[in-house]
Amino acid sequence: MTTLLTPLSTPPNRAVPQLRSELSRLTHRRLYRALTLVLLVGIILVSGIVFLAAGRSAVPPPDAVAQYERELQNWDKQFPQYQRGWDQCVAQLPEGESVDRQCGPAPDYERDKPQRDWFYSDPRYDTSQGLPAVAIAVTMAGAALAFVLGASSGGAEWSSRSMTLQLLWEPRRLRLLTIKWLALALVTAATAAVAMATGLAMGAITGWLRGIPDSTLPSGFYGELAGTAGRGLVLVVIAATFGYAIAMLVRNTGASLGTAFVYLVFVENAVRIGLIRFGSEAYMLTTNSVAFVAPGGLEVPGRQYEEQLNGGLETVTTMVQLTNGRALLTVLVYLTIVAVPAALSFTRRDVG
Amino acid sequence: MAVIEAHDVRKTYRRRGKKPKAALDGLELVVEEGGVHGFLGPNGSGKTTTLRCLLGLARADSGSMRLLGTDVPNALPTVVGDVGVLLESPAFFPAYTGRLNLRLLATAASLPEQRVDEVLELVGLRDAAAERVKGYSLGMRQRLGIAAALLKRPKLLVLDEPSNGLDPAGMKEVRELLRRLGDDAVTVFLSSHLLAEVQQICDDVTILARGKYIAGGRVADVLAAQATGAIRVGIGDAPRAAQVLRAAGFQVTDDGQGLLVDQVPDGAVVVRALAEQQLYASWLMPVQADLEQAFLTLTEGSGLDEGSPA
Repeated sequence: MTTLLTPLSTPPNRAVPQLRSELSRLTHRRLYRALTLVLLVGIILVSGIVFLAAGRSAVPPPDAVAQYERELQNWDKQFPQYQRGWDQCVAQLPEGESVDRQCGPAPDYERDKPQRDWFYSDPRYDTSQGLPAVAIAVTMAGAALAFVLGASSGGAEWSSRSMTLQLLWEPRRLRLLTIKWLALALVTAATAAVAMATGLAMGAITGWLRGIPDSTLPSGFYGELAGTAGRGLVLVVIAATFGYAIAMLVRNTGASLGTAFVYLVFVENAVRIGLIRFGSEAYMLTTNSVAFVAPGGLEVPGRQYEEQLNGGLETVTTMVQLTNGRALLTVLVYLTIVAVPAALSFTRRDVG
Repeated sequence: MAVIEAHDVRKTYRRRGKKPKAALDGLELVVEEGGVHGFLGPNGSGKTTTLRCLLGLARADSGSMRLLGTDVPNALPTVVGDVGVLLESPAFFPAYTGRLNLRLLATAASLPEQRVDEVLELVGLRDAAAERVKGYSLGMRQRLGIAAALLKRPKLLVLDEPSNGLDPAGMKEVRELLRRLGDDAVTVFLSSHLLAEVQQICDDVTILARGKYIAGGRVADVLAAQATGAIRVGIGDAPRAAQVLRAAGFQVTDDGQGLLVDQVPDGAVVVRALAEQQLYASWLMPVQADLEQAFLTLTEGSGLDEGSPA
């Protein structure tokens, strides 16, 4: 018995075993396992529905074809009436008024006629649209769940007071925080990668069995898809970091989730609407998150200004191109605003 | 060598809407290596704050502290591997089993898996190791906390109320364990409200009140310093003996368990006074001061307001 109690110099703490311990702590959490299961089952279910909804051949449904042909015949009768109406409008136009403003553009038979894809399109699975959509959908679902996991990981450490216990084993707070964040980042990235691979594999199977042939895919498609998926994994890690950082600030899971809810539902929308004239959309966290992942980024409304147009004062909205890089930079600015105070607070505040 | 040193340590808690509260007010503390050292003080006297400052959980406003000869909190990481701690109620992940909680700590510190089983065995938790901690009783959690503190095979063991929640048998086991550790090469620093426990197992004691050191040293010396000097005398003719002793200038009371004679510088004086009147004492016993009396005397009037920081 005595030998069990005799002091023995413990080796200094090393980062790798500490990281291994944190990874084990995270992956043993029931919430982590439940969220992973929800994500994977959700992906498989949605993929199954998409598979069942995809047509087996390129032949469109006969009733849709019949309706399109009926509308074309109607168009032949309706077009002369539209033309007469427009002519009448132009004839009665007061002097100085703009034709475009009062009567619209001149009717054009070909341009204005009912289009085939208004009624039906190729019912088969379109891989060129489907797979990027899968990557974005998995990213958004994964990011939401990663935020919950991050917030819950941080909150649980404070509510169970296990953070205090861990600080008695590793008093270097910044190091402990870094190791915990690294573990969270690795776990969420790995889980999101599995989810992404599952979603894309399911999409590929659907494309293979019920899709438009691969020969129609644009060149560089798979490279762009890999880029979208990779950016998606980065966004998932960022979302988890947001959750963890907020939990480290407020030291409670519920408060972290509440803070996120209030921000996303009230604050962001209030700013978006209130400052729309100043092009607020281009600076919103959610907009930039989507723009970071979306292939080629996102074009969003920018600043608005008044301009004399067509004889009147009109509000003109500029458009802003949010590239993937610019969007990432904006998201990282938001993250810094939350993560730096969280780290400072953890390293400086007394722990009970 | 001193394993714990604190000199002129000050810590004030600033609370919104309330006056700042000085939890430590120039604390002096020295704990020598080896044995079991008791740390006593009324609620709010600064015991837990002292431990938190020593262990880097709270930042002292001023003063210097050393653990195992190393300045803390700056160099705490270099000695933390040799310090086992149980601070207040043990904090574990409630949804994890007792074994998993310990295994996570052991993995982080590169300790062998076998050590987890050893400490579980040591605190009598081997059979409950596979159960979730949320199903543990307070006493079982306390044992798990002690197991975690022992995991590193520390040179210094800091325990805050280790008997909390334990049943009498559990308390006895823990006391025996601490005594055994103290007899081995481990220094046990025991903060406790259980004065009898401290008197029973501690070699030295430090008493603080209002964030200041007020007494300390060997337990026997502290008790001696607070001794009343009273003796109890067993004698056949108690009423006459009381009369004789009162006539000799002593304060005497008869409480049915013999005569209680206060402030006796030397028992022989009492024996002689009685013998001169042909009265012979059948027994004579000095009245021992216990730690509770000593503690109450020393800390009299130092109870703090409600809501004071620990």
